[in-house]
Amino acid sequence: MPVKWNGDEVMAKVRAGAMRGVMRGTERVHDLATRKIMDPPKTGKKWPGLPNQSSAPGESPATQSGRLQQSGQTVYDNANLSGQAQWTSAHALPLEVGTEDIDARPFARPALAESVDGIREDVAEEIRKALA
Amino acid sequence: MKLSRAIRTAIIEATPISELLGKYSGSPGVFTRRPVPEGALYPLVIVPSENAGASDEDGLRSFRPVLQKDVLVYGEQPDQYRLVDDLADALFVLFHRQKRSISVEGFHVIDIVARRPIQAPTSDAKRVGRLVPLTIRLQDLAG
Repeated sequence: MPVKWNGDEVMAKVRAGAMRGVMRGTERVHDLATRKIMDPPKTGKKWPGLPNQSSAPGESPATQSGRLQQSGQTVYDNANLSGQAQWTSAHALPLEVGTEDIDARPFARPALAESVDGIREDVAEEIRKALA
Repeated sequence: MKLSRAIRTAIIEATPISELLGKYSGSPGVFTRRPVPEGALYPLVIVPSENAGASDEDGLRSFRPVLQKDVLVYGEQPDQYRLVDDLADALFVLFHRQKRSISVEGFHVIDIVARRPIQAPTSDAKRVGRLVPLTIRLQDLAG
């Protein structure tokens, strides 16, 4: 009995589904990080001249000029089935990791850590849909 | 959980690293809070007490936190530039896939994955910094 091998077609569908899942997951991280910046609570000082109350150490940074969240972007690499949520503003890294004098106000890695289960579900669901 | 202190202890006990650090009150300069105390000498290491990220791989009856910790090295420009690079590389080697390098009371260390050092921001242009991010998977011994 002849057997028709559909391996290449199936793998193409799996890769396409996985990439859609990666994109959903990456957008999930970007959106959550943005919410962490925009949403209360921020319990730091209210500095004169700044529109909003600042964040306390350990909290996600408060939005002031809007440059941090506006610098957020997502970048994809289809060949390697990967995505990155990036923040290109000059003060993104100092806020995320702190300096020798200033405590960190992390937002990107907490958003990634809290999204791990969701990213797994995104990828699994998109692969399931691709194979349906 | 006293993870920052466990990492601090591991760095202090690694004499090839700690003997290169500046001293503060007679001890190698490894701090778990910022800003570092007045009079602390560079180069120094900061292991912030807060986690950079936290998730879990819990089972029904087990507690398995996955924690991200930053290890930061700072030195004075330009004299300590290479020394800070060397210290960051040594910290990577100390922790990467070396689960026995730390001991956390009440937890089993499943593994530690370090990332290669990257440039860390500084408050002062006369300083240089490197960041070694760690991902540490633990299992609660009571679980």
